[in-house]
Amino acid sequence: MTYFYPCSRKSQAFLLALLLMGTGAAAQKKVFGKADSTKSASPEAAERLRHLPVSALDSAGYIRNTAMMLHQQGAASSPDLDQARKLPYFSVNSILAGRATGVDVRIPSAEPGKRSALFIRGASGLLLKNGDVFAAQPLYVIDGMPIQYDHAFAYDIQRFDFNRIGTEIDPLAFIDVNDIRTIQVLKDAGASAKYGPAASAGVIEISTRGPRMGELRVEVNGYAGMSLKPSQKVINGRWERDFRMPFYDKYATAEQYRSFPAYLADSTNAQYYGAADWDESYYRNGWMTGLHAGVSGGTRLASFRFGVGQSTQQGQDNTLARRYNVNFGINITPVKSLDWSTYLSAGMINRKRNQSLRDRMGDQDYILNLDRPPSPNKSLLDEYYGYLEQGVDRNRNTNVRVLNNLTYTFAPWLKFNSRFSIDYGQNFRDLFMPRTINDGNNFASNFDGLQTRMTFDNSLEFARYFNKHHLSVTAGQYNQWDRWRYMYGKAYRGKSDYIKIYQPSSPGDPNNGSHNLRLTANFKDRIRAALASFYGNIGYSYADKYHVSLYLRQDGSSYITEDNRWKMFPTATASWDINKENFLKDSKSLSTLRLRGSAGRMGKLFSLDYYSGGPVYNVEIGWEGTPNLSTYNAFPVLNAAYELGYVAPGIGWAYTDQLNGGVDFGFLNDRIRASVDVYARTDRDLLLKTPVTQEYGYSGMWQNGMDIRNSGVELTLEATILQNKTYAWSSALNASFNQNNLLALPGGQQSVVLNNRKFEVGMPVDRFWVLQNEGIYATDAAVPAGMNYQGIPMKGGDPVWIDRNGDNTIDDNDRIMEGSHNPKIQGGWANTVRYRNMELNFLMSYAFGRKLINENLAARFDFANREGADDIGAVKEVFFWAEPEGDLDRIPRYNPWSPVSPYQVNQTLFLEDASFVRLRSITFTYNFQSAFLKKRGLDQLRVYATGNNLFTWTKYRGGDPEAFSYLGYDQGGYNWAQPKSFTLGFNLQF
Amino acid sequence: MRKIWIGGLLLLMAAGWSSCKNMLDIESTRAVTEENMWASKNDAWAGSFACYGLLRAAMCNENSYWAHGELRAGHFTITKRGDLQAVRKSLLTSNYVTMDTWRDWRKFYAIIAQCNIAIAKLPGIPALDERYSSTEMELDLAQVRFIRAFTYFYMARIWGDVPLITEPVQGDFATVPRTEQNEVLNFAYNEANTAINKLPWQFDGVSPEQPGNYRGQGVSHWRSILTTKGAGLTLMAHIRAWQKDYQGAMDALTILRNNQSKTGYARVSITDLVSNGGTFRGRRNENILQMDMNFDHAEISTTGQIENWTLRAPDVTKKEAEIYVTKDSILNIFPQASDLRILNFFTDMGSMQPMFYKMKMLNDAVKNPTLRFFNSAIVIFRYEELLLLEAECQVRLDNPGPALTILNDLRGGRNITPLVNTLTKEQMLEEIFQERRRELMGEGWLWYDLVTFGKVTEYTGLSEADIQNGAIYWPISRAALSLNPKLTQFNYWK
Repeated sequence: MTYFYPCSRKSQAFLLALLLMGTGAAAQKKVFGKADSTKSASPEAAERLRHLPVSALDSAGYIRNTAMMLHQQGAASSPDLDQARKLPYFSVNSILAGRATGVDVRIPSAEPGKRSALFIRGASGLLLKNGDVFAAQPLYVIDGMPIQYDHAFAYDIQRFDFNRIGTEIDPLAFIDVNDIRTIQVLKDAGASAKYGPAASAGVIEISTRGPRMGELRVEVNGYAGMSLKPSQKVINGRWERDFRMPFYDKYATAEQYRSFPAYLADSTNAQYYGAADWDESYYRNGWMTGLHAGVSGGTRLASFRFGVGQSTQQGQDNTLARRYNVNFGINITPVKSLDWSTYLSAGMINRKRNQSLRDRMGDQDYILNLDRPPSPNKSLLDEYYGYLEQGVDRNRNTNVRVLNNLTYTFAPWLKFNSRFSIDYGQNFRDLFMPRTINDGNNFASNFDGLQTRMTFDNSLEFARYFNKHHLSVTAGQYNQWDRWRYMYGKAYRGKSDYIKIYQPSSPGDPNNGSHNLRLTANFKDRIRAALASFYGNIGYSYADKYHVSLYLRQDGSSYITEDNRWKMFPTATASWDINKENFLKDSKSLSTLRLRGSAGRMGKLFSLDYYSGGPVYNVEIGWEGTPNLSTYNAFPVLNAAYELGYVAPGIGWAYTDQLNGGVDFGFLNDRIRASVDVYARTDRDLLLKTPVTQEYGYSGMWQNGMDIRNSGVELTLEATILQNKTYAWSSALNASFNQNNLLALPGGQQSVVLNNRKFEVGMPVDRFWVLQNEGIYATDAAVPAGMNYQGIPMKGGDPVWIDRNGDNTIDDNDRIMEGSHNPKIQGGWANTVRYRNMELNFLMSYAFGRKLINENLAARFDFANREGADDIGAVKEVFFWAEPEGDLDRIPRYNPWSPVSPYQVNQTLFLEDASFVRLRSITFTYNFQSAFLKKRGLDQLRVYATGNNLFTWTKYRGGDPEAFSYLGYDQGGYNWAQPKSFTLGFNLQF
Repeated sequence: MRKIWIGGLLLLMAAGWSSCKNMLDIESTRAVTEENMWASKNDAWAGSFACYGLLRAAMCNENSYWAHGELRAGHFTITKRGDLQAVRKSLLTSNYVTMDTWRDWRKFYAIIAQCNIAIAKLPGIPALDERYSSTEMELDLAQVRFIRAFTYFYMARIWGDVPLITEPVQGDFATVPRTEQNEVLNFAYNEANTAINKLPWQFDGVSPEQPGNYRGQGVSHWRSILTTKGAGLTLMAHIRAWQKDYQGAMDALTILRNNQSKTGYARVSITDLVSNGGTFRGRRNENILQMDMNFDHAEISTTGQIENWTLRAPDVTKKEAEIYVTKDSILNIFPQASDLRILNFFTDMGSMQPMFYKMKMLNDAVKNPTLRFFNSAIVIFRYEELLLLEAECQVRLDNPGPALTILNDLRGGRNITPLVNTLTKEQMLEEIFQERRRELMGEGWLWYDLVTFGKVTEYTGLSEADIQNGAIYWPISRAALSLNPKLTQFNYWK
């Protein structure tokens, strides 16, 4: 191996790179009988390869926390877990909000245990509908094992996409924060490339508290607390009537007067004009508890850790999530030089969901009678809940993860590593709605989802010091098999509310069985995917001052056309520890100075398997409101996939190019530490369906070619301001600035309109597309001559929208791209103050430059189109009987019946600044003195009290500035704000 | 010992490398690729019936069939839906999601596209799958041809000049300008004419075009559900009538009349017309062609039928229907109190908003209380309509005699007094129009009748100049216009 030594000259480095590429290519050729589809290795390189002892590499880190695992290159940030462990967080995402740089956490609804989202350095693709969020999620890695995320495909059979069918339980809620040792957010290619194409949107790398050597240690952690019910200004029919009457007085015709809603017309009706006290029943203070215990210990030859935990959270609106989890890890050394680790984790989460009518109708794919909203009266709500008790809504996810790792050390500098993992998840929901609350027809459904991921990774690593030179070479191979499947069945109108299952009748006799066969439907869907990779890494450092590495990876994905299936993805990183140079070595004021840089290209996986074979045929003879019809006159049909879209032949890899530069500073013996990162992440050749000439029937064409760039700056500043025996004060500030830009659209298009948004090359991709308001035309005479809205003459009472192109016609050309739910800058500021054994910590998180559309307010004003309409947009919930949040007086009183849709959602009227600063958490901790503990045989004991979300400073008038849909719309009660809560807890170790 | 471990590890690695040999060749289990389609009898069956399915989908989508054919004519009153109100007032460029749907012709072009592929691919299948005979292929092909012809006729009535595309898409999505309406209609006529050569009068297994059981089902299963010679000739007559070539229409109608015994078409009693097992359940002799819905096939839906707009409490849990006919209009349209249709087409006449009750297809399995799954077929052509078309053509061709016979027969069946033979041509046409208006109410005809009878100005606020500017046609959707620069909007909608 001294062949490589010394390797300072460029040509030799280049040769090495070639050789590494050759390894991948040759291996691929051997296994697949097929040459590299992108680039073939030179014969010379192959020849050299034959003489080269195959060297080593491990993509996914080591379970045993060797120095190599910690040797982290590239941009990464880790939250302060010690504080987060005290807080009642159910999911990993909540831990990261405000604590990790470059991370944007989205929790559209604080329903306990419900799926949330997280974006690292901006979303890596377009978000057009809720299902798109799935593919933009980062890769979660637990102890080097890439966790399988839920799949969005079940949305295909849904008319409404509020929730994906199934449980919608957060797949990341399985992990108990007490089992986590560290979390790292890997942001650039230098840090995340080793996890391959699944990691192109970034990585959340979690390592758990694994087996440890030493005496038996027991830890017990527990907390209990309460989240407070929100206060709302409840109203009854009178408020709503008073709100609407001015519109009627001013604009209504006789016909419109006639259809004044009956429930508001009769002020003697106690159901709507009685006491507005629904909130007493609807809201509650929610309990939350958590208990966790762990045992660990062992010898050098065998060690283990066993952890078990339970956690329960109640929401304020009758929701609940409860988790049980166990995990077990063992390290053994059966023979010399062989390390064997097995980790096993299992968890179960049960969730009680919200009872909103909208979600229920979505679940049933059936719109119930909307003539009258629920009553604002408590007794009627209680009655309703009583009926609901007869129903069933069981949501349960179970998850088992097995990780097995073998490391064989041939020599201190040569290791072989083999890793095998299985991730198995079940997603199970039983739903039954009794006829009493369902327009007289009950509904039963059941969802049985299953997902499995198997990975297999083998690598050989060579790492050795040669004097001041350190060289490591790794080569390996990785396989991943994924499977998602579900069975979903539903049945309308069972014979009895006591029969909560369904057994369809036989075709001939509708009277046997519990349900008429024709009123039942069953769906089955599955996706399989596989990924095969070969990788090589070469790392070199000199005197621990200069570090360079080159990572090459050859990925093949089953999602991609055979001709384009294999592609090579390289990543290079370099760093320079300047403070180790002689001229800085003794400097105390500048104790750390490190320059980092990385450039890399990573593949990006698709999430659907349609794209590998050109145009497809599908069953698409349904229509709006009836999407799943599949037969004509009982005969099956198959049509070219007009709704799915035309799949252009030869679709290839999408990929991500990343550039990152960073500086780490440490001043005054590292009492002040700072990091600055500048990055550009460009997702290229993304797949997008854009509309095509409609005269061929297709809704659009899928093709590669969309490029989106996210670029920004990240800053972390940590300072130990005071520190001595009695008191200490430390402070940490992080800030992330991110912006995105559309660089290209498929086929050289310059702009495209999709789902009421416009995407224009050179502009950001996350802007709302809105009309600009400028008041109201008071009378018909005030309307400029010829001014019309898409051909409809404007009249008095219509909004003044700015006619940007001056053609006297207000249409899409007058819309502007304005405002985004992605903040310009966000982050957090944490402070810890210690006095003797007492510690106070608080975290403020903030976001500036965020704008939201207050859809809830728009809906309130748009009553003319929504009242009693047979449409899911017209659903009113119990929480309709609260004063809408927002500045009502600011909104002009337009003619709500006008055909120009004066209260359409997408206009600047409803666009508001939603910047905020929030006191996310405050923690008070008391650590018992060690002398006191020792006497009692304890290692550590601390008790703490926390408060969460206690204060928010914001200009946003629509309620909580963090509670909004994934697409940036505040939908009022559907976007449940994170509650204020208090907890008490302890950590004990003995 | 140590060697065993090393050997084991090497085996592991080998397993990893060899197991991925074919791991990446995973075919989608969710869709069929082009290369796997059109190879067998099953593909032919599914691919050709998809044309029917897509036609039904396009008509049902947001109740397009009635938005296009019924609402603009104005005899239905809207309770509160702004979008329906706008259609009624011909404000077809207004801003509603549904209005976008109605302006949009993509779903209709999906039918055309599917027909184009099927016409290209079907002839090759008998050679690939011996279970699929040429005769059966010809029969499927003729049906597909008819659907394409019908769809073009249907689109030409809605949008006027529409691009004529007759070849499967190649992936280049070339833009095509509008084709002049007459050319489109002539194409449709010729295609229908070609199709009828291979279509049977009925799917009864006795004609050379259709031997044996078609797809394993007998004549009663297919009656009025599949296209026949009769449906083809009806379409041809309608195309010619729309082109004001009444002799051409009459020629097709004459063939139909001469083959009455083969078509089996019969008039329907008022009871059967509105009963639950009647016309809108279909498969009956009065129906020439229907887009089928059927509870027994689970082809039922909450939307896509006119019931979705017209029914209310007590039949469905909705206080107010979306549309209704006012009492004044009812008395106006049905001036003779003896008319059997009044009490059969309407109910709850005492209330402010009588309920239009001609279609109320709720299977017993979804009644009491109602689960809103309707199963009424869209009746595209039915015998009464055909007879009225014949009467119209006879009058236009100055043969009032036969027209009067037809008209009085129909009037007798609905219990209104016969007409006398002293009417002028204009009066006769007015009577025929009024009879169509009464008989076909809610069946998606009235708007087209206003056009063919030249009564648009009389019944709507549109002027003659508006009509010249294209107001009788629907505007093209903004999406279609922006994607195809060769398209132009009619002046009225600019």
